[in-house]
Amino acid sequence: MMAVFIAALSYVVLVPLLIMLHETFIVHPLERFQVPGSVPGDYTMSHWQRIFVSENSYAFLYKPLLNTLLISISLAVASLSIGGLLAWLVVRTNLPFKKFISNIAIVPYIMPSWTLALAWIVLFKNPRLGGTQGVFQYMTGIAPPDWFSYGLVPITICLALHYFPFGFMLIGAALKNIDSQLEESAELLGARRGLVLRKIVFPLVLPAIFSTFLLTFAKGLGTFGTPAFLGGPVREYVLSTILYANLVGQRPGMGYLIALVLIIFGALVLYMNQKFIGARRSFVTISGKGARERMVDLGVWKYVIGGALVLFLVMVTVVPFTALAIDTVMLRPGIYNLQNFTLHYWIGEPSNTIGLGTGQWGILRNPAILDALWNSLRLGVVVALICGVLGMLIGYTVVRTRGTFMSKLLDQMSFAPYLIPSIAFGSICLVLFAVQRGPIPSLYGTFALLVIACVAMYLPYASRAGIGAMMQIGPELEEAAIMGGAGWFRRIGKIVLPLQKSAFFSALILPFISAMRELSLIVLLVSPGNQLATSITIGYTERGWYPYTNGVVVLIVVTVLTATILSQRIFKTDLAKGIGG
Amino acid sequence: MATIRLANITKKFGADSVAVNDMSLTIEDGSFTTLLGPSGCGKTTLLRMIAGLETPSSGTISIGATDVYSSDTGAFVPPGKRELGLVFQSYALWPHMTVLQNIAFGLQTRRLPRKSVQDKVEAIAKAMQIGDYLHRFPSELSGGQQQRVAIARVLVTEPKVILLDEPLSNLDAALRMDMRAELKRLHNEMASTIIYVTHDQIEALTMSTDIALINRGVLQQLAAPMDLYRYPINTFAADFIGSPRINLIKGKVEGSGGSLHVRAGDLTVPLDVALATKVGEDVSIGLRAEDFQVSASDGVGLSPVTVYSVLPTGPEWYLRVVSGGQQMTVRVEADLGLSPDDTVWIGPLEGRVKCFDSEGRLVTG
Repeated sequence: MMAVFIAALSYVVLVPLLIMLHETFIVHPLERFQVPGSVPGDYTMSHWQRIFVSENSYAFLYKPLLNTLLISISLAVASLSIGGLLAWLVVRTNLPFKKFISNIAIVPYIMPSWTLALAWIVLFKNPRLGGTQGVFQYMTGIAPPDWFSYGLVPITICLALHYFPFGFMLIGAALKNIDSQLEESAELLGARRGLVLRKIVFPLVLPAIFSTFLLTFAKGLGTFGTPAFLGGPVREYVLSTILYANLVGQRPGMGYLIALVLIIFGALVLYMNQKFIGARRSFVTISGKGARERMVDLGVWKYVIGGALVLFLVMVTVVPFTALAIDTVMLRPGIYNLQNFTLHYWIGEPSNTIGLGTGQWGILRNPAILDALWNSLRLGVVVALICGVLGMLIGYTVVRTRGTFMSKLLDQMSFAPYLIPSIAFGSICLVLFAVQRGPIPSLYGTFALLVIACVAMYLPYASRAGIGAMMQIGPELEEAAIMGGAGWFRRIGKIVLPLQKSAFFSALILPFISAMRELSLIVLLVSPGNQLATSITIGYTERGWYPYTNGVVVLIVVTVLTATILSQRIFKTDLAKGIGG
Repeated sequence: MATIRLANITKKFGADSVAVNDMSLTIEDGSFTTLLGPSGCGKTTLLRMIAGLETPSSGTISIGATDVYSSDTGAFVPPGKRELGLVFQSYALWPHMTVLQNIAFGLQTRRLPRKSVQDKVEAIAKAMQIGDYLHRFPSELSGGQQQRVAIARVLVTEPKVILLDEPLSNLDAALRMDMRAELKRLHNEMASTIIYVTHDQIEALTMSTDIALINRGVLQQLAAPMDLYRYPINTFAADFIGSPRINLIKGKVEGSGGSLHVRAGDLTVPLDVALATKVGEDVSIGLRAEDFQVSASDGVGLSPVTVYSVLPTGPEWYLRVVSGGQQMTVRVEADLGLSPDDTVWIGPLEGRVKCFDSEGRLVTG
């Protein structure tokens, strides 16, 4: 049993890596011109040479690598600072508008990660690079400099604004879980506030801080949309965009080499997680007894800080969304007067004379877009259901067999995809399923492949929620039912599920949202005949037909926000349950 | 019909952790048998194996004429089919179900008709005095009421055997006294077998018809409560049962022929002549606090000892005394007006002396 399991595991982990490695030594059809006198299938060292030690290596690998690391590290630091500060203010001080702040603070994470990038373009593009002026220039008359309109700075800012909710949720949960008696005993022993913070609170939230850092760092490594949209126009590449360019340009040799580099970084992150957090993760689960009555008094500053936070959160959610929405109803970009407003991009007939998007139906009548939206919705629902069920089963198994090797392995395994850069994970799926290998058929271009990739990638959310939920149900509750003669299904149906309704739906909602707005993972896996709402926007963006892109994004955001709010209202779900590391 | 027999039961967790070691035990039909022992002794594991929630590593368990588990024949009857009820330490009431739903669960699982479920639940709820709370949720009940619901949930299925796993440990002291009386009364009325797990020897002594004393996974003694109290078969049993703890006086058997004794300082404990074979050996003498005659002045068979401290408890006084470097506790029923460091005269009462050999086993000669 165990041997079979480990064998299957190594197949899933090792085989794709070996295939990938093999591909980097082979001449592929379109690569034969790079290697004079070769035919496809020949072995060659030229990919390795070109990537690592040629005069172009800087452009092919080192520059993008540096960019990636720069972005990922700044992103992790920024998410940690913004999220951590916000968490402390909300959990530990008498900040006003707490409920509103807590709710809206997770909205940036719910939106597709590149929503902000598109909004940035609408707001801050300049005529020289963007073709037309952005809102900022229209309102102030000042053209933003190139480095502010496109490139590493806006990429980092947009990603940090997307990922800081991670820090907010993880650190917030850790702060909430600290038993106030721990701090009170320190205070009774004469420790001052500062000392309590430093010696008690900080060490207890340290695992959450590490988690946030590693998680956002890993996300930065594998993210595709934002660097593609904001980096492309100024030719600033990161590993994910270079990887995409190589694979789309039929240069798998170099593409997979880049993927391997990304995977090595992913493995490094996993290792660090294991080393620094693995053992300590447990102390975040201290029972949070004791009402926390005493909050840090912000004094007269409380409304100033509260107001500033609300303003900030509105700026990173409502403002960009509005900017995108407005952009979709302007016939010609950059011209801000009423005559220019139209619903052409939403419901227009195909036209060669009006607006951008030559010959395209408006979004709501466009069969390609509607197909893609339907696909995304279907994917979200299917992935959510599979993840939800698997997550609860994993939670059940891990908790009920606690202490066994199997339990630990399953716990760790189900967590691993969390930290693998998305686009690298996508390329692993591509390599495993692109052609028929043994009993596994070629799934490239199928809906099934998208489902498999998304389920594997988002299972951590569901299994986190599942494990957390099952921890709350003592085994006696089930044993009492066993004594009553109830079989497994009756126990699950009558005892476990009813008690864990909200956790179960929490396990559903994150995979749903993630699948709806995923781009990095699936960008390599979709085919022209099988598009998703997110991937279809790439083509529009490349042609400069932003109103179409923005319109689709607006629809995605509306869908995921509605789903989130509905599930919170109806099932009392809590997104943080799936993210907690 | 529901006599429970355990034959050579061993339970291992992992390779070298033995929770229950080759235990054989018969629990008589209609008895109130308590599995008593310190925490970690294997008593809860034993209970869970009888319930079917754990499987033994080896051995046979039978209830009535049926083998519910046997490592020889591979027999296994699942918990729900053993006709047992188990009351958990934490009560394990399902928090999302009302009292009514909690109690009805087992009947519904057995697919009883709705009407009969309703009748049975109402009858048991009335008997357990929780009829007014049927539509409340467990979180809306007090600890004592939750306890009654947990018991009602078990009783309603009319089990042949009721298992209780430290059911009183979450209650406060006053309530615990009440529930003891009620459980004992319940046992008399139902005439079914009860197996009760506790580490509290007072609870065991007050409620049981039989006590199985367990230590480190091994059965030490199976006896009626007062027999266990009066005739412990080893120092563990002697020491574990009784409050205050039994005095174990260490010494050598001295004397010869018609007069044997053990000395601790000035205190002389005469021994039965049957122990003549033990002369010169190290032994422990077991004497409970009430096994002494205590006097403020000298008398026949009394020896002087020094008062270490005086501990009044209300109806009686306990004296901590020292003799030959060994401390012991003796009971007096009247205030002798003693202060620390005073001298008091004590001597063992006739027939109360228990003698244990150097390995802790009771020796009678």
